[in-house]
Amino acid sequence: MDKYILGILAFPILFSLLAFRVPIGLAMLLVGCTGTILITGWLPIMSLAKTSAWHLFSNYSLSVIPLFLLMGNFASKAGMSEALFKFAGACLGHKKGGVAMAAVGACAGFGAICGSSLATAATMGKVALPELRRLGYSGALSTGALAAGGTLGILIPPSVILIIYSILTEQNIAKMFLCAFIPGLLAAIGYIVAISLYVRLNQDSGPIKDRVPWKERMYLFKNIWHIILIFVVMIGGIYLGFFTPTEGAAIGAAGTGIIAITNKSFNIKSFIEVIESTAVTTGMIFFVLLGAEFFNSFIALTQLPNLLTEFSKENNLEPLIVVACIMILYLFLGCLMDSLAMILLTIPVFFPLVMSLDFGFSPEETAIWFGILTLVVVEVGLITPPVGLNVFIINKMAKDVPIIDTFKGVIPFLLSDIIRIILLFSFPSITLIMLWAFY
Amino acid sequence: MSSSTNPIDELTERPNDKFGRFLYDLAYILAILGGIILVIVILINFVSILSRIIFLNPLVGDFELVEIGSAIAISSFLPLCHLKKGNVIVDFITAKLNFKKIAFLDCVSSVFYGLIALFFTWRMFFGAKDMYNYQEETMLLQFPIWIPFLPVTFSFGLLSICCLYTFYRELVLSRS
Repeated sequence: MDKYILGILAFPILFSLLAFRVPIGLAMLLVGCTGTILITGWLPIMSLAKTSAWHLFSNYSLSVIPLFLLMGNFASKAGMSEALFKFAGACLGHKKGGVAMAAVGACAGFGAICGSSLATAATMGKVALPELRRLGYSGALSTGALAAGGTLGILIPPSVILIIYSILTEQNIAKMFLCAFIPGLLAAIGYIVAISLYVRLNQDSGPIKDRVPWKERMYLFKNIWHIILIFVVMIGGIYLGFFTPTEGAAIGAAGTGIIAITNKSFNIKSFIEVIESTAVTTGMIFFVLLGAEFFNSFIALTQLPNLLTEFSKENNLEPLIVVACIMILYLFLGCLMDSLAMILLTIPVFFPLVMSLDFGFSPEETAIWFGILTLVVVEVGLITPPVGLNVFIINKMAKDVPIIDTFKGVIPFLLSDIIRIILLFSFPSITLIMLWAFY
Repeated sequence: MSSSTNPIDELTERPNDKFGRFLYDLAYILAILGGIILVIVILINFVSILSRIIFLNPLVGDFELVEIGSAIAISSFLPLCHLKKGNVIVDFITAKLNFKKIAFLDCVSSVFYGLIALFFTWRMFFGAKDMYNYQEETMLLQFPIWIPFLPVTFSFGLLSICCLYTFYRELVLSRS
């Protein structure tokens, strides 16, 4: 069979496997191995399977992932989410809808020490949701704000997805994190603006609390300074090139670990829970990575990416239109798929295409801009129906709120996401300014 | 997304039969050992940073130790991840099916996963043998690679047994 046809067929086959509940990593492994065997015969797979898992798992750049996950899980047990929420509440609670804004702000703070959206949503939800409901915030607003706020976990560095994008495309992780910073802050600000507009349109959805005096704010700040310290040392060290990302993650994990252990409620059972959730997420990510390795080497064998690049060259496609089409495809795919799997599946095909286009930037700038844009767009998938994972996680915690209300509550945040995507797409300098300023 | 009282979700709890309990506990212990190795990896990083600050040169072979530790830790997490149904699935078309049909689909996945894991275990065993025969070593520390290869292979072996076990449980559930 023709190689190109095989490559094109691989995607519908993969998607139908996924529809039948086959785990994403397994589906990629099955399609990748079968495809490779069809093209090259058994031998390459036989020898690849001998060492590929070892080489993947012992990749130094990837070792940052379990460490960042460990850091996030320690942070969840360290009472940091509560401290952040209390402090943000003291600063913003007197505004209309202020406690919901505080929840978003706390999510942003937690996102700075946690590289995963689901963990951020789950941890902040546990702390902020009961409080929001107690104060009389509507079900739609409180669950919507937390589901959207959770995505800040990945938009604000460190971010597992960005690490994987950097490794796939051979970019510098430190520069990638640096450039993700402003888009991440924009996301948090956008969400806060969305809340303030929402509570003005729906008068009784967000009550006001009394203003908290500065003295008390400073007192509450005492509980979060170590979070800032960990973030500054970790990310600062990585930016300045003083540590590798893995070393930075190790420092972050140790820092949050020490804070967790000194927390009174921390015991051996919580330690086992931390290990368990780190183990399950790490296992999941690396199994998907292993599947992607086989799937992508198969796709490379079919030379489909070259075909796509040549096609765009021959037809003189407008670069911005190509990127816009990719982003629209991501928005659509994001409704159905997990963001990690989406990046692993599509970047090997789309990245060479995007890099072959001329945007008037250096290759590195293009790669960073496209990466951040991709990150932002795939994260929208976490809050869109029908499978917005963050929405489900938060909704499960709020037993009295119907899922349809949560999806309604997410709409203002989705609008803010769309506006941000258009901004980042039209003005690449928003993303790249940090790169220009520091390098 | 399924509710928490779903029979499918109960499959992630510790099973009642003897073999299942043994397997479940083994996967747990392996993952916790992996977690401890991860903590050791953190310490190695610390020692390396400290020695860079104090003695102005890094720990020799710190990268290699981190790589070896990570590989062992990551692979040790795979069996537990499978037993806890941690692998991402796209639960969207099938969300409305009853639990027997879902259990049947899952048992098909499990058997494929089990076979693939078995294939990897078999190949990696030979991979380790190659490493031993060719005396492959890490660059700086000259640590023989076949030694850390063995726990990674063991994890894949346990993973394949776990997959075949969940295949059996899901098959039973689908016919209940």
